[in-house]
Amino acid sequence: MRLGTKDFELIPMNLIEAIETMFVLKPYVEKMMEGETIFDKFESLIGQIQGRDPNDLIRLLAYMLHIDADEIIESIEKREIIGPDAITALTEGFKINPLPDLLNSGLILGILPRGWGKDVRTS
Amino acid sequence: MLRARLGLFLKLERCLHDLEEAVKQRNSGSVVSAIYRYIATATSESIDFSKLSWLETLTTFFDIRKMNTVSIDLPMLKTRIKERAIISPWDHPDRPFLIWIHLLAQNYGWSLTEIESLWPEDAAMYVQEILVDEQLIREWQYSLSSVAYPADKKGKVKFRPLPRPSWMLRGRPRKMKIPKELLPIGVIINLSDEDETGN
Repeated sequence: MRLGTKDFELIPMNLIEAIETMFVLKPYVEKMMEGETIFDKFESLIGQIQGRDPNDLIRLLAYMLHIDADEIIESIEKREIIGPDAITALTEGFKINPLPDLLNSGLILGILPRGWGKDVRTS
Repeated sequence: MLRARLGLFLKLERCLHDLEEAVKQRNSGSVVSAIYRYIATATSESIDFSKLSWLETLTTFFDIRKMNTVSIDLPMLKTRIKERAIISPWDHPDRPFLIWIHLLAQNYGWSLTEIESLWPEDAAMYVQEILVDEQLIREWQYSLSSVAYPADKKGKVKFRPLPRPSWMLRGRPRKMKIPKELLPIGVIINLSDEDETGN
């Protein structure tokens, strides 16, 4: 996975990164789940993050790519990658760390107010 | 791995309590620590969690938790106790869990090993019986005291019973407000209306 000037290996998050991700997603879950398809939901998440706190995108990338947030900020400053590069990286991150599983786990743990639901393939 | 008997079950409940507190405080480190402790306690094995992904760890945690859920229809367990605002000076984090062992030992004279070997469901039923007995004895003693017969403004004496815990009260359960976001989503079809109209 290439982000800015660097290559990153995409491996699943460890538990603390996943828990932090759930806490970051918390303010966005309600509105995100109003979307009908997985694409609507993801689009809503990105839109909300850009409107509320763009640093949350950096936090999510840092957890997914297992790197320091400063490194991501540095890459962004050098190549202005907040656009498509970052979104692609986040999409890849959520492929290997499935968003439905993150949300459902967050709901059971009491971190998130809502989960993805039962059937993650059709919604 | 087998279902936990009371001794282990109470230790697991303590881990879940710590997890709940950690989530409230938004402390990721403590959340993770409570989950690791829960799995390690349940399996009695040293596990290298660094080799597991978050999904593997959480799936293990949820499976063990599901296996050790007490699912009996017991009034005492159905009522959610409000968190006490005033903490007694003798309170400590393990106290809510030790009370079960204390009550069973005090009333039946069983040893710690015997009590810890009980199934959690059996222990819960015994504890409820003990609490019912204790309450009824207290009510009888209270009814013999003048405190139970206060006089109103006109000087008329009336019996005022000792209040019972909510799970011992008969009647309809208290209505709970459910947040809008937790209500079912979509169009609600009322089947009873359809039946009346013949549709």
